[in-house]
Amino acid sequence: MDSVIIKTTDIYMKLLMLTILLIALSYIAPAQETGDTSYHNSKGKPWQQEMENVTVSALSSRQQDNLQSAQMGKTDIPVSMLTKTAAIGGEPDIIKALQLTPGVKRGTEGSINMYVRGGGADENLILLDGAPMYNTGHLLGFFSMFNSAALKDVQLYKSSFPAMYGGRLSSVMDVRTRDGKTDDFAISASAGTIASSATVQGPIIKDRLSFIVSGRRTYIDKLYKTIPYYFYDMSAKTMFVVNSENRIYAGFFTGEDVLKMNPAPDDDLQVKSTMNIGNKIATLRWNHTAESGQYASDLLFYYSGFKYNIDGSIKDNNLYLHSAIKDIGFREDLRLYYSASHKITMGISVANRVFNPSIVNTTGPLLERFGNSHGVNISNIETGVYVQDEYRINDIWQLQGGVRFSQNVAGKKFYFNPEPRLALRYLVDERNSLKVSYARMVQYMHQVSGSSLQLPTDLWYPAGGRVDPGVSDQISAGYYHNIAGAGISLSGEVYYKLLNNVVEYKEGAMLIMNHNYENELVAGRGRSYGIELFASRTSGKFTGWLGYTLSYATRVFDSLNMGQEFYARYDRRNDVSFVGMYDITKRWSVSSNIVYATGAPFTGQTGQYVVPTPGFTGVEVMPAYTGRNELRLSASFRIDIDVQYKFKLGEKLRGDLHLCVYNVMNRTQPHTVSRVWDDAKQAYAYRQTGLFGTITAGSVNFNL
Amino acid sequence: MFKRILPALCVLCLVLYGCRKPKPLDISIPQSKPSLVGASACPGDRAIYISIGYSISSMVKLEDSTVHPDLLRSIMMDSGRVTISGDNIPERALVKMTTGVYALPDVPLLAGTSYTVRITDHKKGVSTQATTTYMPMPDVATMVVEKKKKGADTLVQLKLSLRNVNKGDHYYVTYNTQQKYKKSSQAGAMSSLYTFEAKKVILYTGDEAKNGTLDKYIKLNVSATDTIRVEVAKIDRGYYKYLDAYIRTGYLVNQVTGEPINLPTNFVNGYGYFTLCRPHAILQDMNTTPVSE
Repeated sequence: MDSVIIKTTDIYMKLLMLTILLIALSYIAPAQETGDTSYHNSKGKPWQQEMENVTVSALSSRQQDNLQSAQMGKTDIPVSMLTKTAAIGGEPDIIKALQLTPGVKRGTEGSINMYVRGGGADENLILLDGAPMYNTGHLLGFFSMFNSAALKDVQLYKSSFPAMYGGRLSSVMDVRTRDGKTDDFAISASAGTIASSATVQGPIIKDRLSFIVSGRRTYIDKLYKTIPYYFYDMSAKTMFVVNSENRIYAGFFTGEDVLKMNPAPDDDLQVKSTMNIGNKIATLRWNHTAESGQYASDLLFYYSGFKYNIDGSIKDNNLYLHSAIKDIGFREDLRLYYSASHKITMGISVANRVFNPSIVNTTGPLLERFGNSHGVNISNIETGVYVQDEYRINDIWQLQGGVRFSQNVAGKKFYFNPEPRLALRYLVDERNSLKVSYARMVQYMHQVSGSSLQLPTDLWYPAGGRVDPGVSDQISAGYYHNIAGAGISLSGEVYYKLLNNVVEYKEGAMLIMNHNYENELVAGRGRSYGIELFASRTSGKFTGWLGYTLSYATRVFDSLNMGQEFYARYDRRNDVSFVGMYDITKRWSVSSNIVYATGAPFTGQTGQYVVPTPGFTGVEVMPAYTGRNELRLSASFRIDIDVQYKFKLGEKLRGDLHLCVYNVMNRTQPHTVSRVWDDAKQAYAYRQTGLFGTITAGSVNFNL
Repeated sequence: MFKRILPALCVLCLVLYGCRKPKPLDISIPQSKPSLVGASACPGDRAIYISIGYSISSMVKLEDSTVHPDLLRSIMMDSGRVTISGDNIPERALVKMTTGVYALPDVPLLAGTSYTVRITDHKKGVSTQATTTYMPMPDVATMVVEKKKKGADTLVQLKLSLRNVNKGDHYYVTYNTQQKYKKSSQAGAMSSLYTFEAKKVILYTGDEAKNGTLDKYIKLNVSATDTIRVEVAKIDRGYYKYLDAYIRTGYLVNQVTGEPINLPTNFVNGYGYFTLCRPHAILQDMNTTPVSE
């Protein structure tokens, strides 16, 4: 333990010195025009100006960047397009839109879980203005916590991860919120079937200090007293322009799901329940951009917390469950553009996390057998130091090479992992390029869920106990092509990914109110490979994309499925998604999603038998199953349509009406298989059920 | 005028048409061929009983009181050859006692010795075999059911003390009551996986013993006025793992939230478990058991 403390202190001192050095370096060059350095295109121009001008030239710049940079595996679709896709309940959702792109699989119908290139739902690093987010869903994961009205940009990395990112195996989703307008006030509001939202932004000091506040809330509990549930989220951000080189941003986000159920007067059982599940995130960022444009620095401090409380009672039985995770950290990123050939980025990050996986208090004859647990606070400290160079070798070859060194201290265990990142681009001509890449990622925490259900109450566990950090190695290759004049980008990528130390529950794991979840975990290996084809058009009257994925994802655990390899739960062999948006006239537009996916694998019951109970005091029927995930559900197929009508009220007030129909064909999207008794046949039959049929919803948006 | 109201009509139709629940989709799950299912018991000094049946399609209703007794009989092995052999005995055929139950009254079982049962059904052309190690009766120092006053309730617990317990030993304790036995012995009524009731089996290992003694107080979820039968047995590691899986999976919440798994078996291409262990059992009338404070 002493050696671990010494190592931790030593790391902290070195990181502190490195942070000071990096900040000092960023002051060396002369000043240049300001810009948000979170994103820069390959020509070194700041993204911010381009993001706020959604024009053909900006969109083409994305396509050009996709062709010319060495970066691959990146989904970079404008937020404005993502939020125009038809969505369940008419509620725009960027995660559900990203699920319609190649390589990103959906979990349960309607849920926001993402399974990226064969990885689990916990293998995605989701950042909100640089701070990690541990629970991204409302209503058991059916709606994401991202209020699209507050979003500026979303980028999803599936491979070839820049060295500045680490901590998850399969993807990084970097979400940036809007900065408030500095010149004028603006108000927008929307009212929909599910929720209503409002956004207010404007200058506090013109051109110097701005703010933006967005809020959203459901109101079904106000309309129907029998449904005592609601969710809300709220984000606020201020931007202070110190001078032409320096900007300071402060942001806050909170989102919560609340259920309060009180017993009915005639309820004999007196069932009562209160549930709160929520996130809180706070960020403070200082951006410094040298006026020459040759240096830029971002220093970020953040707090991210997630917790849930469940408090219930039935008659004399009481239950209290609590789990939480708190993450406090900082990071410094420095970008150096010394020459046209080299763009060097380097930085450090430190995260101090405290996990409290479960506190359980039970009383009463029905529940006390589950016992109590005071919970154990588990801390881990994760640090990362990285350097990366985008080296333009010549007009044809570009190399993006870097390494991230990550360390983790958890209890008595210390981990150190180098994570090399390499990408190479060959520019065939101005319309075609070829790329290859390799990336290693390490994940120092796992979220474990029961196999058939994935809930927001699934537990985050740090590595360091029974389970070591997960590691992924991914190689990928791709071909990219832009069609001249049509504004269409085409790409084809193949990938192969190996995963080590992935985590599952052991067979027959006790999932409910178990005080020692770690004992229920087993570690294994996984691999996934596939091909993704993507065509997109992001400008013009008709925009959208078509994606196809052919993929395989398997897992091997010594103690599961008798050590035999089995398909991962989210292995969907063929996945086709078409998203189209068409502006019929200046006022009318329509968008549609057409989605097809091979059925998910499942374990089926192939027989049953009778055995005596131990002690021969009775007999029992036992089911006999196939091997794990040997069978397939039927394919899912769905068409969604969204019709939009734009209008103006007076000079300044603009609005649009949406009518959205989810699952127009009303076709079951198979989710589970159940055995049901058929009276006519006097036998059981197997039926596949889904969660949702056709859902029609409307909404109206206003902008002032 | 029609053109003006047409959009509104479309919206109305859509709203009325919308929000429907689709019909479930049928799916055919191929059913496996019938396999032999075995279970065994050693109730007395030298007797062995083996029950043999078949697995059947999951499309047949087996688990509730509407099941006809004839159906249960039809899934038991009616004619076949069952033999047992061991290091100290040559292969001997068991005698059919009733449909599906075969026995031998006089088998010299030696502690720590391996025995193999072979089952062949000539009619259906299936066979299987399993091997296990015979475990003698545990050394029970104390095994008594007590009643204790706990507020307004009466707590029923088993006081158990085993001697000569070594690391690597495995034990099970199981119990049942007269009332529950009467319920379960009704025709076709079998306990099912779809219940919140925990299995009445508790497992221990020799690692929990101190100085060769395993002392436990086990809370029993039974009525304080019933007649209870409690049994403890020393078992081998394979049967311990079978019972561990049996306890974990046979529980409603795990059926819903966990991954479905097959119970381990030592029958080749079969189901069930062949174990030879001599339990120590007590039968106690709770009505005559005094309540202590």
